Amino acid sequence: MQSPRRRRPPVSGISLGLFLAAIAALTLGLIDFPRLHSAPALRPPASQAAADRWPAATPNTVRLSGPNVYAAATAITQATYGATQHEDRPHAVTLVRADREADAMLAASRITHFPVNSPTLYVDADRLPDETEAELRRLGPDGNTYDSGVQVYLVGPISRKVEEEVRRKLGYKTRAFRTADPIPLSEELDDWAAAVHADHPDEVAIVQYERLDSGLPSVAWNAHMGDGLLFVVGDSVPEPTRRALSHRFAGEAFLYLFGDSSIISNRVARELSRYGQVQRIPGRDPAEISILFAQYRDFGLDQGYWITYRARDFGWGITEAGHNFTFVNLDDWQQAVAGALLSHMGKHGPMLLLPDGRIPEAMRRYLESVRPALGSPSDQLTNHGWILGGTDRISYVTQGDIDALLDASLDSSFTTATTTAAGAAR
Amino acid sequence: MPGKATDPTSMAEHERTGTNPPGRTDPIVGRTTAVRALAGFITGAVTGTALGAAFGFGAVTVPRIEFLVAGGAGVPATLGAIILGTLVGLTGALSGTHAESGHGTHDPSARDSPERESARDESAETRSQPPHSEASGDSKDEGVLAATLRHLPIYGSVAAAVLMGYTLALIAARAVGSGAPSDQANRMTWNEKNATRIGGASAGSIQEAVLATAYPATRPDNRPRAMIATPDDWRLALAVTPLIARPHDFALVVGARDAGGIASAVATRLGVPVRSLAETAGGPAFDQDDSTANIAASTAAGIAATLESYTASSPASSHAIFMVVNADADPRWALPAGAYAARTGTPILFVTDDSVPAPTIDALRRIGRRPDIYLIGPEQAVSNAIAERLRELGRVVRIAGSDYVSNAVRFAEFYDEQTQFGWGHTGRNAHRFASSNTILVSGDDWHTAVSAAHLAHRGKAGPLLFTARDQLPAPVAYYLWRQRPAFADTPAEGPFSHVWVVGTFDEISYPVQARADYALEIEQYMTLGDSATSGLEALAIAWIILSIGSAIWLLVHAHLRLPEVMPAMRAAWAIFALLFGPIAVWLYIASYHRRPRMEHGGMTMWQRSTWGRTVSATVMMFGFDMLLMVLAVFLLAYRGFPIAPFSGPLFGIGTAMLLMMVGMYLIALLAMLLVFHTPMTMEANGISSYWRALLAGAPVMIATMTVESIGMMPTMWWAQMSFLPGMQMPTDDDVTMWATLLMSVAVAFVVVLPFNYWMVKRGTKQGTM
Repeated sequence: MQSPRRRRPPVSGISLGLFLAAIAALTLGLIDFPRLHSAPALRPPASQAAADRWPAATPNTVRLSGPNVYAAATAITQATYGATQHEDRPHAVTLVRADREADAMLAASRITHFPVNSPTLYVDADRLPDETEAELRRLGPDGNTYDSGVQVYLVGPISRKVEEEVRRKLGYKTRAFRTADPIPLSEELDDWAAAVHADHPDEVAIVQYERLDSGLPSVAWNAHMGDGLLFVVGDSVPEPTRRALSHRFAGEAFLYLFGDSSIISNRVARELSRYGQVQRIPGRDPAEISILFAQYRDFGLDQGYWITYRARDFGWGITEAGHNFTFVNLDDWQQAVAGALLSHMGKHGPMLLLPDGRIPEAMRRYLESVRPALGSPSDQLTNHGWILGGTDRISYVTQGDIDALLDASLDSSFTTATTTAAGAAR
Repeated sequence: MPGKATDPTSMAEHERTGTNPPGRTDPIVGRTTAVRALAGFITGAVTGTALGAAFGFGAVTVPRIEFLVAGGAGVPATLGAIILGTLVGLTGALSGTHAESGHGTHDPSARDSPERESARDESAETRSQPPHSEASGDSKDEGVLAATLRHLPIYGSVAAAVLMGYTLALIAARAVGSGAPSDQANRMTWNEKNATRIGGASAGSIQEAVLATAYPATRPDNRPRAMIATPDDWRLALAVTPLIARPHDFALVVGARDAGGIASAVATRLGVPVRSLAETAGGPAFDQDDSTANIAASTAAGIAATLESYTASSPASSHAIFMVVNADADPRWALPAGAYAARTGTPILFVTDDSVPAPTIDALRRIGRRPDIYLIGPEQAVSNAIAERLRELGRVVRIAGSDYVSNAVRFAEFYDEQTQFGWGHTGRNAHRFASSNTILVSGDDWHTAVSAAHLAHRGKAGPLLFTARDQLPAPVAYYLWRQRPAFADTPAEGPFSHVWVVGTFDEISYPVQARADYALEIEQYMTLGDSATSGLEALAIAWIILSIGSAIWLLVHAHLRLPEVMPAMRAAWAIFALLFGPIAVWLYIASYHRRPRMEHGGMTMWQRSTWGRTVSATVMMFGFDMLLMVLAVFLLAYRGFPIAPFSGPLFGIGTAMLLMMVGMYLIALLAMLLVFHTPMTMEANGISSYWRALLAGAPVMIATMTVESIGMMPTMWWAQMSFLPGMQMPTDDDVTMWATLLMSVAVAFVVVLPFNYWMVKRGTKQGTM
């Protein structure tokens, strides 16, 4: 075909244009177009007071709660993710059943941390509650970059009906971990987390399956740090736990047993030492474990490679002022697991469990030991406390006492009836 | 370019004997370009540094980009230097190149030899057409398909450059704050992780809400000693704020004491008595309905002085430090003093527009020596004449901002080493790593602002700042981003920043609160989170800007001065410059400047040393390879890296990082072979069959890309998993993604050079383009 030189530009122009159009279509299909908003047309809330029914805050504490477990979990995600622009949203959301504690602990421990950044909300076995659905809509997760852009994770035996609803009604991409038994589920999540992070964390929290509450403090830590969680059942180490532990690099793990020998027996501890170094957080009950774990810190060498090395670092180690805590009633595990998110962003502090919603004497002494000293306005550390649950779970008086224990200027030698004498002899 | 060399004997012979072939040795850049570029860059950089530093230190405010100051003033200074330096330097370089290419009159040393000039004039007519029609293969008649194929590398380069621009624009948009807000109708709470909202339906209910928060009243020590009810006058209310502080422990409410009035309701809940001002500290009694209009400024001054003497009479002893404000001016100049007074008990005294009232003078003289007087407000709030009168009484320091918003910010940042007066919240680079909290009010209603001072009496005490409803004012956004803490080891280490947001949603909208909450989140030092720009990110951005400028100059220069270079090769240099910036410019000049050249079979070849040919052979493909790999990472990130979780020691194969790297390699390889490499092989070696050229060139192409990947992938892994501590695996809207990829590309270049040297030595690659 003859085409004189001067006729060439239109041909080149057309093909160039087509090429660019193809690229544009490809990129626009993949990327959401950013828009700038300066005065968004948000409806102001009908009633400010409706949302926070009693004084929710004191100078050092803020209460987060809801009328039921589903709503209470949304209060925590609402506090953490503003959802006003692209950057203050999570990358994914994790759904778990409100009646399965082990599943929830696994979900919050293994999925929350960066780069996934996924909070935990509750569903029923075959129902997506309205509160959860509304919050899923509000959160608008933008997809996990390190897992095919998945936006919602479903953990545990949740019916496909719920997953379909999430996919169809909300248009989110999902991944489900359907294993019904929490023990194999812990291994499945361990493998998934390893694929996302390209590593099995060498530090692993070991929790007694028959006393799950004793492991609640580990959930807050794992939401913060993304280490492992595996179970022992009674007096034995189940196969999935053994397999998961042997996947650690060179088979060497660091195992942190939550509870003293009455919770996780010495026999089990000896058995576990086949898989790595075993250490204990030696508390007699969940409340005591939470107090000890807030102060516990194991750090040192993990692996060395001549010119570089990897360190291990497990535990909060908070023994000074200027840090924050999350307080929750020991009987409210749903609240505690959802509340682990507050250790992942914002105040980044350990969870302290209150038996019967009261402050044990040991906790009072611990908080006094880390209370800030009064300084000048330019040089003041402050401690913050999240209070999770309604005033029927942790009373307003207790909140006032916690506020005083966190404050630089109040005298806490005065105690109210909210503190318990239990543990005074320790 | 893989394929046969034309006339190897003569080139090799000349190389061996060290003689010049019978070609030309023209300079391609001269002093003009160099001088203009350098002078331009330095001028731009100096100006840019000054502007950036002015912004960084808060002297100049620019809305929406305050996140740049979270890493310190050095970040905007660096960015200003690079942006302006590159812009002006590029202009200088372009004008110099234009001059040297014979269209100007200056530097003869850069001019082409006479034969070249006449050759240029001949082809001047054809140059009016787009550059890609000028290559040596023009003389043949071509079909549409053949023409398209030949231009494919150009189109590919343009597409790649556009995609790169898009990813950068996306990152910038995300940092500024793009995306629509969600409907918040289902909220259980308006409190956020770094922000607590205290609101109400009216000013009265806000006062109640503030007092309910500040005083839980569940113990003897978390309630005030008594309530003081003041009339509706901002000056009297402000004057009472020092009594909020320890050890006085009063609370203040503006409004009626009668039953059913707000003061009575609050006092009942708190379980404390209500007193009037007169009952508390003496002085004249006021009608509760007295408002600002009814009370004279001098009377207000007298009350303030009375309260000062009341507080001085307690064991805290006489005051040596005072805050002084103008009773006749807009209250917003003075209101920030209330929060500081509520924290420290520092008394507030009044002056008027024309005088320093007698009670104020008496109060200042009470200590018997010259006190320290902190005058709050600029000249328009408190005149210099008044300041002079005060100087007769004590040491005067003025704390001022040009409007009441910046005035409050100045007060929040102010610190006097001598007296230790002030909040001292200058940002995270300050000398102390203490908590930095803020109280945010709208300023529309002084009742809210004065009441909010109670939040400073203990706990998360902090300075009072003003905001607009729909947008944080630039000085306040600047201030809040400066308070963002950066952690070294773990985010649990603190310190932590918090903001009290006091007001209705008509006064302070929820997105403003959310933006403040977002600005204060603690982040790792190296990256400072998604939006805020850390030093490392500033360096990456600077390099990218420099690279874009380099690429533009190189493209224009090659078009004007080296039209005999194959268009695809010119594009290769430009793409290489997009990644390597000034280094690419240096290598480009070294490859063509005063290099002997010869015409062979319609193509121009340059004589270079073996290393010179290695560089050229590398650049020919490397720029495309690398940019395609980088863009492939982003494309995969937008979709989300795939994973394949499974148990066992080989789990690594299914990890997101590894699959991403495999995908990146395959995408880049495919694009390279189909769009860039094969058309260039066809043109360089005169092969007319696309598929034959593809098969001929594929082996060396794949080998080269594999060697490059051996350098790039492990560096990527290390940079993203180890170098960035704390599991900061970057996502597609992080500048750190670019920073780690640029590092990896640099290593890939170093690794592939020896391989290409070997290729050149054995004749597989020529490097003569």
